[in-house]
Amino acid sequence: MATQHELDELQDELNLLIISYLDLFDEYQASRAELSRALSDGFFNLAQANFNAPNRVRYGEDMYDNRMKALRGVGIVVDENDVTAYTLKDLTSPPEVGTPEKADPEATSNLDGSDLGSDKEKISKSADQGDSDTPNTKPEGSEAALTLVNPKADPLRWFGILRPMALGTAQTNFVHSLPPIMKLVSTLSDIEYHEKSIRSLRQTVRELRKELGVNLIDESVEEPETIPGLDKLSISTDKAGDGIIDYDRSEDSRAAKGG
Amino acid sequence: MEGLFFNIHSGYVEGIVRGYRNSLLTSSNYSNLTQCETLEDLKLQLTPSYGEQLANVASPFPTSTIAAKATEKLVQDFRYLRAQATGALAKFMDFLTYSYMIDNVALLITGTLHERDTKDLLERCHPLGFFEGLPALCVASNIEELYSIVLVETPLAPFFKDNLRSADLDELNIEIVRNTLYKSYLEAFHEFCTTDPELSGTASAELMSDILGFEADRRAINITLNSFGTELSKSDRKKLYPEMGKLHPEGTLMLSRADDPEAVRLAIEIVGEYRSFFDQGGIGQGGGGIGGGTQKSLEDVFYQKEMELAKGTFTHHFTFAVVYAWLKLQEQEIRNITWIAECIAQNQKDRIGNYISVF
Repeated sequence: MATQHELDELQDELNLLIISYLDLFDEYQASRAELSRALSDGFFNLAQANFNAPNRVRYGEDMYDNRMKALRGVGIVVDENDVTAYTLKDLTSPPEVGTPEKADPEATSNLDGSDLGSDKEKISKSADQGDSDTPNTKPEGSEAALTLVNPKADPLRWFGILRPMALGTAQTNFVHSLPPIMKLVSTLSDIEYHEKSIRSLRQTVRELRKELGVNLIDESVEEPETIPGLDKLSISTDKAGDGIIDYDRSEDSRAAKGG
Repeated sequence: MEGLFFNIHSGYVEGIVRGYRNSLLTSSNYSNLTQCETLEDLKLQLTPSYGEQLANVASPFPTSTIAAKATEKLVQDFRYLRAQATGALAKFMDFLTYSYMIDNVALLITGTLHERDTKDLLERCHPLGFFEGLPALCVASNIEELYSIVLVETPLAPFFKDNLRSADLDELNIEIVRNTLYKSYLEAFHEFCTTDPELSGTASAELMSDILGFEADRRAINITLNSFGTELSKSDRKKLYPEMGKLHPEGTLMLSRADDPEAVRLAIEIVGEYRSFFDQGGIGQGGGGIGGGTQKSLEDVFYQKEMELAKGTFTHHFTFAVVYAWLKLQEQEIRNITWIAECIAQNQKDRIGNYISVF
């Protein structure tokens, strides 16, 4: 037989989950802002490098080598709660340091927004999730992968040694846009997990209330379909009762264009 | 009398160049361009100058299209002038194309090193620097081969033969080849301008001496600043400095020993007019600010100075230097338009005024 005490405990737990859920939104928005800033700075520095190009070379997609192989990849770790964590890996590191995966050309996706030149870094999504216990897939790997183990693989070298400083800055900006992307997708996965937990907890609370016969009238008010104030993200419920994240795609494409 | 003889051979070309100069964009034109909200508006604003080239460009188009179309006009105009030129002016204009040839050589051998498609690379080469043996450059695997198979037949051969060294073509050596060629080119061009019977003692010699001297100094400073943190050794670096200009020999000696930007500042302070450059321009600053009033980059300060020299050239008559000046001004115009287009495309209007305009 359920008691009022159990109900209170469950409601407290629900509140904590909602708070942590909102914190995740905050993190998500911060990552989006960071990503947008890094890409915007990157494209702008690229324009600056072209403005100051000493050898009449146009840096950008014109100079992109289509045979370029991914320098950095993504490690995927799925924990017991089905929350997926994405980390950055340096694919140029020698085999004994980690277990570099072969970049799958089909799976490569360019996350800097367009087919922009030398400084673009490709992210290859690892098809194999079984290597989640390799040392490189630890969360701190993302920051470490920003510096390549093998500097000879640096695509900046395509433009010789004496290239404009703005080109190097643009590359740094683009490379630094990768950790926010990892954080963004990891946070989204976490948000999804939180949605599921909140939904199931609400269901339990609802049943418990019904059992105790309390406060059934304003139930619809307590369970809104969309959290007010979060216009970019909304929670919708499909028939199975799972939460789905919908976010504004146009916002993504704007961020990818760097501005 | 000087003008009479000059005009027999080169008066027409000079007249045409002055006409071209009058069609360059002015500050008020740039001001209109910066008000544009879209690239389509920009294209419309550019119609008086580049209407013919941009007419068939369908929207939406990338900013690189504007740069490519503007370059097309530059090449077309230059080729027309070259076709009219005779005697020393023809040779002078050939000298102007050599710098583009050097860039193309470096582009092609760097691309070959990275196993790029030759056809793709040739499309990226500047049309003014195209020469017959250019596609054959891809077969060279070391510097000796590069010279003996390809460059010996080209106008670049004289710049190359004295600086030949046996080495494989890697990024470092390509950079050395490029800068050595450029150094020899500048010295040869300077010698031509000051010793050729048709040019010696004329305004052309005087103006070109100043312009090429400044170009040599700028290259020496840029090479030094860009070499920090690279594999280029001090001894190799020293060989890349042109032996001319206001910095040579004391300044270049100090530059060759420099380890950091502060040492570069000390080296260039021996020339009065360069003293303020470092104060005006931050080294390696991404965001310049000629029009915007924000911090300028050192490159911007150099470009500004170069444009002022080019503008000053047009105050003289009966000189070939106006052709050089027009070419530089037109190149800067293309850079400016591309910059404005980039700022519009990226919605970065706060820095749109960083273009360099002298008219």
